[in-house]
Amino acid sequence: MIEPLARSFGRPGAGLVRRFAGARRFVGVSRLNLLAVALVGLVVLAAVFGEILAPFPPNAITLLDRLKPPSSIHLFGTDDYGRDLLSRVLAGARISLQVATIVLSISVVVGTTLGAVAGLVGGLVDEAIMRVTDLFLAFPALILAAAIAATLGADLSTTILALATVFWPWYARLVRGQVLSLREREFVLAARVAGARASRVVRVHLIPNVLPFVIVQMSLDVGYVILSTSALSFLGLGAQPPTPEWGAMLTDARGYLRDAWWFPTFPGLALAFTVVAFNLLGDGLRDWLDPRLGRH
Amino acid sequence: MRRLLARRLIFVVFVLWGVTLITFFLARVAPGDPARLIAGAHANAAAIANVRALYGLDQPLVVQYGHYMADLLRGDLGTSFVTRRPVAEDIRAFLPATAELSVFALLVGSSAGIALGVFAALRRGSRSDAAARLIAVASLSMPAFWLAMLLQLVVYSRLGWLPFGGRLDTGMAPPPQVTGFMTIDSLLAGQPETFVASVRHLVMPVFTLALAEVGLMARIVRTSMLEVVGEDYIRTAEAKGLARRRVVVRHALRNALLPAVTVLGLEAALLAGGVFLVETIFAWPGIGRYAYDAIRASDYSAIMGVTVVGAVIYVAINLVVDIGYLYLDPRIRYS
Amino acid sequence: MQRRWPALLVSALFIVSACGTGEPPPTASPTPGGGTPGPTPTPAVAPLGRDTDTLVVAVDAFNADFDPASAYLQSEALIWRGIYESLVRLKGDSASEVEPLLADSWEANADKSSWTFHLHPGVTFSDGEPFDAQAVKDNYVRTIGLALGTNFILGAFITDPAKQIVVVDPLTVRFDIGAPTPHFDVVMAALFGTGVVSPRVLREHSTGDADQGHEWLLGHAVGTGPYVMETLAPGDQVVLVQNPNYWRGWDGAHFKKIIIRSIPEASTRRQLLESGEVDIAYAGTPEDTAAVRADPRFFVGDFKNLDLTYIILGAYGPLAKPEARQAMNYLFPYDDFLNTVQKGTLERANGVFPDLLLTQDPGVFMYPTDIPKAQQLLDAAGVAPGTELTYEYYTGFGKEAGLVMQDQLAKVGLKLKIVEKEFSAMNADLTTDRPVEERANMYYWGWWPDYNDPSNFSWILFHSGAAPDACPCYNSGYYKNSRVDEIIDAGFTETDATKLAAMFKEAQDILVRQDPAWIPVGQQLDETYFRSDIAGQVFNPLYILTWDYYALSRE
Repeated sequence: MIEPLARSFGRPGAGLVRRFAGARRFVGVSRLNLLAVALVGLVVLAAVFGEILAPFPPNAITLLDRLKPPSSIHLFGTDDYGRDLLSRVLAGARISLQVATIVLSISVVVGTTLGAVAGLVGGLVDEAIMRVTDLFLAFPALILAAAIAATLGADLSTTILALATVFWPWYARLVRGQVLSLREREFVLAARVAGARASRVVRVHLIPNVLPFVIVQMSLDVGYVILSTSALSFLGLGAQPPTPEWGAMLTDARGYLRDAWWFPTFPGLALAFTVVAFNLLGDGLRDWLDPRLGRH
Repeated sequence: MRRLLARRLIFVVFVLWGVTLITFFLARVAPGDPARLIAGAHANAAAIANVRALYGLDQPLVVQYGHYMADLLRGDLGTSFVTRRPVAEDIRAFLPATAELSVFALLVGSSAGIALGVFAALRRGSRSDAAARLIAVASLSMPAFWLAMLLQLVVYSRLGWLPFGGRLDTGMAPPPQVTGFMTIDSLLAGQPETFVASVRHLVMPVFTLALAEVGLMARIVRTSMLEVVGEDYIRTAEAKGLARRRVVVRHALRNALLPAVTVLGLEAALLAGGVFLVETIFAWPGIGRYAYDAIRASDYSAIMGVTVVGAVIYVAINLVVDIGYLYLDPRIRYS
Repeated sequence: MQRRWPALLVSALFIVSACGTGEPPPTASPTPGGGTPGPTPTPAVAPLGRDTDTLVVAVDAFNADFDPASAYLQSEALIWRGIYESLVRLKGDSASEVEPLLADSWEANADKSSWTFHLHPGVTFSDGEPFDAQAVKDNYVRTIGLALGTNFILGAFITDPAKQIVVVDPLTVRFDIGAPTPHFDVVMAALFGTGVVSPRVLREHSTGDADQGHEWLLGHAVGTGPYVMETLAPGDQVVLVQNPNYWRGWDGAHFKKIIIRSIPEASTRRQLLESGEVDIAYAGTPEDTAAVRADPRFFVGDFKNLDLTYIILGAYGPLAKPEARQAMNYLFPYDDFLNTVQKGTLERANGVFPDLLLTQDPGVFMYPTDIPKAQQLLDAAGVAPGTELTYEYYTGFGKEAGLVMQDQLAKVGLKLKIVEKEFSAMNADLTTDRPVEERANMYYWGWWPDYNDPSNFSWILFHSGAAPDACPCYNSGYYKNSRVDEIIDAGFTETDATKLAAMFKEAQDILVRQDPAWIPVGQQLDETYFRSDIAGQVFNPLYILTWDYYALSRE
């Protein structure tokens, strides 16, 4: 199957590594990049310090405060159990980032290992690994994830497993492609001729050259993982009560669209902003690193 | 070329076989006794034992898989215990609604995306480019289910501009089925009122579904436009003094769209995920909602049926795209 | 360039549009079907841009099962109440007064051990098959013999139907019960297990003795009733149309077509009602109900029925000991929950029996919310701190109580895992025998009796013979108390009302105080929403959330 361009970087550029080293200049390229970095920073801060900043415990039920509009006590209002929405939205940031981190870590480790093995060993091993990879790519991602989540029982941990199942093949394919092209490049060939051990070639030459691609791909995927997590939770296949996951909060809010505007608004805004922030960052990084576009 | 094609076809068969293998074993490791579910909530132990024997559920898994594959090859996807109908029949009933929604979303989303991509590429580096990029990223990032809630509240509930839920107004008889597309069938049947209703019902789900397509398409078109614009023949054309618009349309866009075609496969995957959410929220009687209901009810025959049919469609689209690409761009050789 | 977030724009619109939700919009209602929204000239009726002869009902879910021998859910009955009829039925909003339907009259012998019904002449099924005494007998022999769930409603009195049901002549059928049964006419008026299916179905669609047409009846229905099923799209909608040969005729005002739509989202149901697309909608959140009630374009019910909502406490695992189940009862914050979360749409239950049940004891023990007491009981029961319990509910019913219970359990150091299931999956969970570790410890559920009788209500919920290991019944907590079993068994044939009341007073004390089976949460109020131009609705406390479609009309 031809690899969709949206997830590829085409031919690797020699300047890519250097480019990546000068990360400070990234924000100077475009004001959108600056915005992206600022927004992502904000989300990360909320995730890290949310627990301290939150005025209330996110799951504390106060039935008498059911569906209170925003006020000085509850800045974002309360939900249908009288829980403070600001505290829950902040806790949601941490959950979303945690899930994204775990999903992408698993995907990257599994995908990179398999991709590197396929690319380095070649032959039947390559063929076997890549056919399995293609097999997983043949499923519509969200439906496969939903089916896995439903089979294993709806829970945030099965969401993580389901999403990792969906995301790792992209990394396997990406890394294999890069390894294949690097394998034939002069500096790697030279190292091998010079008698360097395979592990050293991998450590010194392959990893530093493949890593930037993986990192950019990860930054592009963070938003999509967060969105998918929320979608699964929204459908009741992910986070279970009382977990303050944004998608799960939006499910609860559906019943109160008309009577409590703040309830669907704030979790939704938080989700949209977070995903926009990460996608903007990933998009900017990719544009910036893509040699085909030859920046002026 | 012929060898390549043969290779692709063998691969397709392998993928589809793998899909059946995964769905089958996924369904079988799931908790819950399928015989219990098939027999119904009120069945007694004897009835459950009957069902178990009848469906071969008391046999080893490998044997069960053999039966499953044999049935599948005959086009028998089993029976849904929720709808009590053959899954193949259910899918035939629900597929047209999904097809209509997806085709319109793909058309709307791609055209808007191409326009945005071209616009951004032509004004590269300018504020308009940044704005277009922001729009593209935002449209890709918008949670479909949240957007659907907003539309439901604002456009339907508050403003009353558009209807919500279903393909036609309540009680309106559907036109005789020819294509399965309400819009086309109502025109064929000469029912303008039904046509208008079907279009009005399509607007919100199509918009929600198309939004993600816009961002994806715009990103790809912009990138490939920039690549093409840098190539010699475009420079030559410009140097020859051809009008810029003519160059863009005649040369650059045509060549830039080639990579865009290849993402159709990815678009299809994105659509499948989107359809799943959008149909559920907009009460659209299609495959996505059917799949959702099936997953919620642990209706494994239906889940397996939808997954297999979905994979077949997805693989078929990708195959067509690949072959088309091979013909369009002779430089590509499958390695 | 102004940098603006599309998301921000949309939500700004969202907030603006949602402000002013405080009051209902009786005048400026949306008008679907085109045109600009504006004040409607007659504010007391919502717009109606569709066929006036069609009734559209929006329910949370319907299920397809049209076999009177197995269909035991309100979500099934709400369809076939328009298709099937029984010999007699409850009159109006009474839970005990019986009126004729397929039988014109009936009488019992002196000791009420034998009942004779005289059938209405000239009735045919919608497939043209004549309705007669033999059809009645064949149906009930089948329902009782198949044992698919509703068998015990009549089967509690008739164990050998082939012998005990006697065809006297084509229009007379006699039930020889053999023991005094003063309220057999009330039993025969039950909604479930009494419907009469065309004998042709049983002849032509049977795949064997264990089936007798059951499989076919899961997707089809042929009865004597006013409507026939035109289309069935599971999960979407059912369309019923008039049976042209209906025996009571079509004079007067009736709907020509009934469309029942499955709309799981409460907010969507309310919107469809307000925009004029549906005529009747199941109640949504308490906020929805308050808003619709305040809107003069609609009529909202407020009727107490025999529907009781409760949390089943599994008498196994950590809650095996009565003390542990008592502790759960002391934890539940009844008043706060009912007043704030439910906003008075649920009344506090007086023990495990509905207020309107024949033998209800008003002096039943009521648990206060008392956390130290609960802690003490948990210690006595040996429930270790940190134990995790599981709570199961189905989509749209019981999440609130679960979250509240989770919060309360945390106060005594216990955890509660909340599991949401789709309705049919939970229904299967409740009625399937499984090992202890696969069961939830609490299930949120509701029940009402088939007819107003304490044994009928209790048997399927509390009798050890109704646990999932004995039959596909709803004693899903595997409750087992031999004294309760004795009382329930004896209650079926007890003819002395005073004695019966005393027996069930004792049973209720066991079920509530000594060896609790549930947390009795509340009594449902039927708060279905109707357009104000719909006439003829009757809220019967036993025919819950289903309607006599023949009696409904548009003014």
